[in-house]
Amino acid sequence: MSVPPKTEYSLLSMVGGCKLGIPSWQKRLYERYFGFALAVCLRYTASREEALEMVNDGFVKVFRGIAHFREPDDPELLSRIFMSWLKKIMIHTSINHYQSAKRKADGIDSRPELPEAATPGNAVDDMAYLDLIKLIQRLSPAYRATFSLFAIEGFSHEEIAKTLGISVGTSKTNLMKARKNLREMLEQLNE
Amino acid sequence: MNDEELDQLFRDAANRFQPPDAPEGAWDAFYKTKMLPAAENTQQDRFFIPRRTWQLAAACLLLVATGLLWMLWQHPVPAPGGTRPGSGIAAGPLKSKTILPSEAAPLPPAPGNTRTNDRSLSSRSLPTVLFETKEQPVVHNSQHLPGAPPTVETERKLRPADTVKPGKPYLSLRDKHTDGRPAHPALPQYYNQSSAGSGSSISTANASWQVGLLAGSNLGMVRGDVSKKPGLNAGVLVQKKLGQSRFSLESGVIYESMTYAVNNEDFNPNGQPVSSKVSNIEGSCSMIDVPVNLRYDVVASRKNKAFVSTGVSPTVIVKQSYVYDFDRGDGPVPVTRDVSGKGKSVYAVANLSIGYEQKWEHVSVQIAPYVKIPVGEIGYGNLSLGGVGTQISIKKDL
Repeated sequence: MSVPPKTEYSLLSMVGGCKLGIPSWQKRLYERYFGFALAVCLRYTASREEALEMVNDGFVKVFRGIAHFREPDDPELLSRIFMSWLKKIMIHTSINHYQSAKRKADGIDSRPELPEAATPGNAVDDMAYLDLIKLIQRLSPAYRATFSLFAIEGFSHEEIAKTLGISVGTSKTNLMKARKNLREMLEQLNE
Repeated sequence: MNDEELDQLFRDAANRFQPPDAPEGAWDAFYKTKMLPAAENTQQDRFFIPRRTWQLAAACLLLVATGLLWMLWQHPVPAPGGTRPGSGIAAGPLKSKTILPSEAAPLPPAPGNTRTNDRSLSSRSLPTVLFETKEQPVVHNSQHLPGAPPTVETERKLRPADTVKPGKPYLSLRDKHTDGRPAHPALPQYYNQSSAGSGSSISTANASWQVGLLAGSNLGMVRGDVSKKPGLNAGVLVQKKLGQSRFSLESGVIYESMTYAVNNEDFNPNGQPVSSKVSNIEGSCSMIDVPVNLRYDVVASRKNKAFVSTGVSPTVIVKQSYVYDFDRGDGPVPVTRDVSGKGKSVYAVANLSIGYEQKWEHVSVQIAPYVKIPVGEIGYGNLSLGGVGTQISIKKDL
């Protein structure tokens, strides 16, 4: 029995449908960009479950705010601009969650900064993204957010300080300690 | 590994990463746990921006309240004790009093009323102006008034009003409390109305003409498929009773807005079948409806009626639009299209209705669920468009 080919809907159609609030189009957009959003949120959360929660919270913001999303005149740019917009929402959702949790914990990071045991695996160069993400997830929330924003998203220390509500000096310190911890984790994996 | 190499390692891994598909059921879980509660919260946040159903309910309530206020303004209820606004009676200083039954003089018969006074004029319908009052010193004990009950605080010397002579005003006395003006210039009319109350009400109940306002909501229906989105009705109506029978003719002008879903096979723009690239057709329209109905009062008492009515409504579509998905080959795209003025814009529907009417004096309120059955096809898609709904009306006798 042959399976009918999965219909590919254009991003323009999906955005248009979501702007009208039609659930079938929201579903298509959600399923298309779920993985991308999850990959972003994994960098700012301590677990996959927490990341899934951020993905869903982020998509609520996407569907609420998509009416204000402006499609570019050049259709070729639509995908890149939309993904940039989506990533920004997911990052801010995760950061807000981190800051909320931080306030509840009175500024005390409860997570250990170093792993108790490294995940056995391949050489560092061959490590998959999800393996590296697991290392990032072992960092404290402050180190994790700072490192991801700086090393992966390309934020400057000024932008990180503004986003996380910390000083530029703290951002630099966090980045330095995050790198130090990640190096130690990678060395443990290589041993 | 230096800092830049470390950052590059993670950056490259992120860029190479192929995101996974959403797991099975992820959307359903997301929709149930996030979207629906968010929608409910949004509605709560927008409590003061009501949805259409709230607007309909508010419109109906406003209509009913306006009618009741109108009714009260037209026919103010006499205050306990019998004073009427503008009668001049309230000008006199009134104090608490006890009127002993033995002191109340027998009332004169009203002109044309042969019934005994104690039956034709109850204490509720008896205006106090029938007695001329004089203030007397307050009696605090029975020594000054032998035989008076100790509860008497104030006594008014009551004197029966003059006997009414035929053809003359019932009360021609002049009250010192009204500066010599007739105490109740409108009394004969009022008296006649009160004493002959039942007869007057009967003539009101049988008023020949009634006019009113109506409002309600409807659900569009295409070939038996009833829409889930309610529409709105509002208009004016006129009703003519046919002689002394239980039949009436009803007509009016009603504005209706309606929303309906359409199957492709029921949608035939310009008489042609719709393209298979079109799906999820949802239409909305605004119409002017002129119903002509014959009504029969199954139950017809003085205060309430139950009725059935049937008739036809010539209907004109003034605005219509559609929202549908159109697949251009790269997936369906939602399309909104205004088709006002296209296709047949006049058609007829048959009306079937049952209802209940409650009457107060010259005003009545009625509620009537109805079904509209299309007699022909209408609009851009040549639809057999009917509907179900309820109308609430306020009518006044002419």
